[in-house]
Amino acid sequence: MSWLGILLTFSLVEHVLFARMLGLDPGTAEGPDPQRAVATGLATALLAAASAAAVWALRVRVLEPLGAAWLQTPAIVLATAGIASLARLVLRRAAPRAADLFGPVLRPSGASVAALGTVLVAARSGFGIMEGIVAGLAAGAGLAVALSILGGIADRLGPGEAPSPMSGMPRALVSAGLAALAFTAFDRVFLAGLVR
Amino acid sequence: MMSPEPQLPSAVSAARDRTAVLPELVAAILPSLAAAVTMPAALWLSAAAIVSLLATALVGVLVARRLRPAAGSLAVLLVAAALACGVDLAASAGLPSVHADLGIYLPLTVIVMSGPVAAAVLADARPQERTRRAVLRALAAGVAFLGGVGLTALAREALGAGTITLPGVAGGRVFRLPGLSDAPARGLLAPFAGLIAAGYLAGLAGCVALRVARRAAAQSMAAARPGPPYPGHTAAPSPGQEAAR
Repeated sequence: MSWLGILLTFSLVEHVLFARMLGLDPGTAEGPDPQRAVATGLATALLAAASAAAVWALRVRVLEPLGAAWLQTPAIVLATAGIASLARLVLRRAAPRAADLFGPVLRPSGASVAALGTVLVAARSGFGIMEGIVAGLAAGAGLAVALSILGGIADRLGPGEAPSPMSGMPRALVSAGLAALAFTAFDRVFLAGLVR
Repeated sequence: MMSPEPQLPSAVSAARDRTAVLPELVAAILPSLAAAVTMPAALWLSAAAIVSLLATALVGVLVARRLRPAAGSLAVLLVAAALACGVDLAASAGLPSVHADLGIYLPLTVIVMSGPVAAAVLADARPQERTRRAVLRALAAGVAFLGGVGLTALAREALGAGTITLPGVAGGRVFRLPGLSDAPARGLLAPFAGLIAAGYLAGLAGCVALRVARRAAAQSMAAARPGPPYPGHTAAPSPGQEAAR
């Protein structure tokens, strides 16, 4: 697949949230926050790209020469979790204000799960290092757009529009389902026509 | 000066403690709904989730006594990663069709489901009851996963494909539903239907959590209010009432 194809597939057609249902955490669903939406998308993009590169290096330099390519799944999990933890630690020491913004989105749900899913898909598709990085960046961009859309919907609905058990996460999920319905317009036929 | 946090009655705080993990659990169950569009898929995912929950909860109990929280989280993650690899390899060797249908969601479910319950086990403030509470938490989360994903898959398959597939190792048995199988609502098999179903499931879970907290509050208020020791008993008049009489 070409880079443009990967970019469009991971940002629109096989969307990380609307098609794969990854990247929504309870904190993101609390209310409209454009800054948090962009932070989650950026964290996903950077984490997925870094993990894809690390996993590619591990696979090519360590696992395949040792005949242990079957250890790819734990390598992906440990690389993604390790990079997320390292990023949290470095941000807390070097840039506390950025840590306040990125710390919550790098928890074991949300951006980390979105990045983990993207890297698993990229690895199973046999992507190389550059394809993996492009897929990660595209997935993060798609997630930022999706969370901004959900934030806009929550902003327009207001706090009193839904019964109390449906407020927060449930309302975000139903909104995401309706937005995902709109995203079904971006299917493989559309992509094939666009890339050709 | 900031006013101190109001002290919750113990029953209410216990109820909140029991239901605090619900939003995290809903977020963890969510990815599975993208793959669980038939009953066998839902059941295989649930089996993987329950194994992962029990294993990581028990590892959490073991390491919480010996290791610091950060090292404990790392140990739980290592076990979850090993389990994910094992489940993935076992499925690809023994159940290739299930492995192909579920794709990344099998290892992903093992990893994602282990997080919230293991974190709750590691942070448990009652070390004497940690093992029992960890097993109960893991089983409750597993049952919640099975109920949520299983019911959603059953409804989506019945309405979206007009069939109900009973699980079995050799592909299972497929029952066609008269009427629905002729004109199924295929859109319900798409991920957006899973998101909407997950929204209503999360609303239901929130409703249950609200009821549990309200019942606990009502019980604690009833316990705090002194009632008559037996029916028909009247309290002795106070000195003020005597004087007024």
